[in-house]
Amino acid sequence: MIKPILSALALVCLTVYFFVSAPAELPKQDQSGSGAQAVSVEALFQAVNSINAHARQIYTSEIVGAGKKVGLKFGEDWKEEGVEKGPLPALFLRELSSELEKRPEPLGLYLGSDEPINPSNLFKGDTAIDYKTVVANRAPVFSELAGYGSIAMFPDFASAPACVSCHNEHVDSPKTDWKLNDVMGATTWTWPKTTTTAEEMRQIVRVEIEALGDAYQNYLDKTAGFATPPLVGDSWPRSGEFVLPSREVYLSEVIKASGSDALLAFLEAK
Amino acid sequence: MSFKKINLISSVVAMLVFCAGIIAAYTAFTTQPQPIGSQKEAGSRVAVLISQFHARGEFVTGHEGLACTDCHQASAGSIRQQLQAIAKNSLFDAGYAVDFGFRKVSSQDCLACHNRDNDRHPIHRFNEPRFIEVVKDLPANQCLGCHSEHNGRTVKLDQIGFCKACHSDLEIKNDPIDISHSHLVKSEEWGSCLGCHDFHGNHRHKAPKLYQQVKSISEIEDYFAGGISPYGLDKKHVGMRE
Repeated sequence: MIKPILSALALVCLTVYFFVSAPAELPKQDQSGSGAQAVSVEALFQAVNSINAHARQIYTSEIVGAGKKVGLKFGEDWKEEGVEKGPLPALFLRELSSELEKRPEPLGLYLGSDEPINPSNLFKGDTAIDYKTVVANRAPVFSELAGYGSIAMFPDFASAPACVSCHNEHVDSPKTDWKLNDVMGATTWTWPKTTTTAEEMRQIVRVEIEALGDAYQNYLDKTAGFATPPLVGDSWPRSGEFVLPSREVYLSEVIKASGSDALLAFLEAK
Repeated sequence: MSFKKINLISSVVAMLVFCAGIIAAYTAFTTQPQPIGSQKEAGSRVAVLISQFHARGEFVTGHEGLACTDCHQASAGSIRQQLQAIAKNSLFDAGYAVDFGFRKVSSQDCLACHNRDNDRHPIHRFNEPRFIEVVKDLPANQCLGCHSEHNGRTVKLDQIGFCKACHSDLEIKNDPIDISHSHLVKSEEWGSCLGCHDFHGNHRHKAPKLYQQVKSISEIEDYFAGGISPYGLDKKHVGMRE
């Protein structure tokens, strides 16, 4: 008789322990949707890509293009010790991608092409099919993929003369007849969910700008070790001087250029 | 089994459950719930306690002297909170992200010491959707996809020809080596890649231009198994605790 009573008592105690007198609950995996204003992931992608596209365009024409004319050098081996170079535009994007990865926000950024200088950037499988659509329509492709969440592939246009001349002249380039405004590749963004919120979107944009600043700062830090380092300040290489804009000056130019597009993405967010 | 034996076993089980219930009830009513975010201490105490009894395997070269809690971080929350979350997850699929005692060792734990900007193959690059098929067989998007701990090995993979997964169509214009990369790819000499190239590029080692200077497969396999690095001991980035 005593056994069933003891068992029942034990069960009651365990139920209390597990469920009734609960301490504060641990946070759940995803609380982004609770009460917050939901917006489409496409809007998030449009905003971050707009900033990135302007950042790259400014970096390509104002830092690489104009910088080469005043004696700055750029190459794939820019990170090697003793090499006095800066990152080529594709590697600058990779730098931004790495800086984003250091942050807790799960935004992924990648670069690819069907004619890449570096074979490791060649699109393959389904991404190659999506890329063909991007090239044909000269417009982004949005998709969802199990295990990855949301994916956006944006066309990378040859927006500056430096894009065309560098790719056409590069010894390892598989294609040497690029023209201005060609789709030279695609920028791929990933977001692990199929939804986001307005607050999350604002946070991601803030994080992207901060990561962009850090990516550019990595280049400035490298130049500080050059035998003759460029002067870092308010001026740009287009002035004809051996100079580079500071992190703040570069970021302010990017924000000014991308402001209206990024704002539009926010306004159109549904 | 005799009726007497069954009766004895069920009595013992009932007593154990009762004792567990009493302890559970006691702690339920006497332990103050801890606010979220300030429970690390309680978790850490348990973590240290468990680590004193847990059997360890041989450390990976360079990890000797690490404390268990350098990699095995206490899971968030008190033991009771963790048990509650796990119970609710099991019964209602409640969506809590919690491990009991310690959280699983993740790439972030490894990168806390080993992250560096000039990694030739950073794991995050393999999160790109075009590598979806590659990472099914070679989970290079996680540190623990290729490395593990407590088995003395530097690399847990048995095969050294994994470069094939991504570089099977490699062609290099102006190839600097005496036997071209495309020839090596065509003849499927995947064991030779690591004979010249350090996967993460963390050694001050220049890839040779002559094929006869390629490190042998056995040298690479020894390195994987925990032996000395064939790329030399001069590293560009030293892990934070090395």
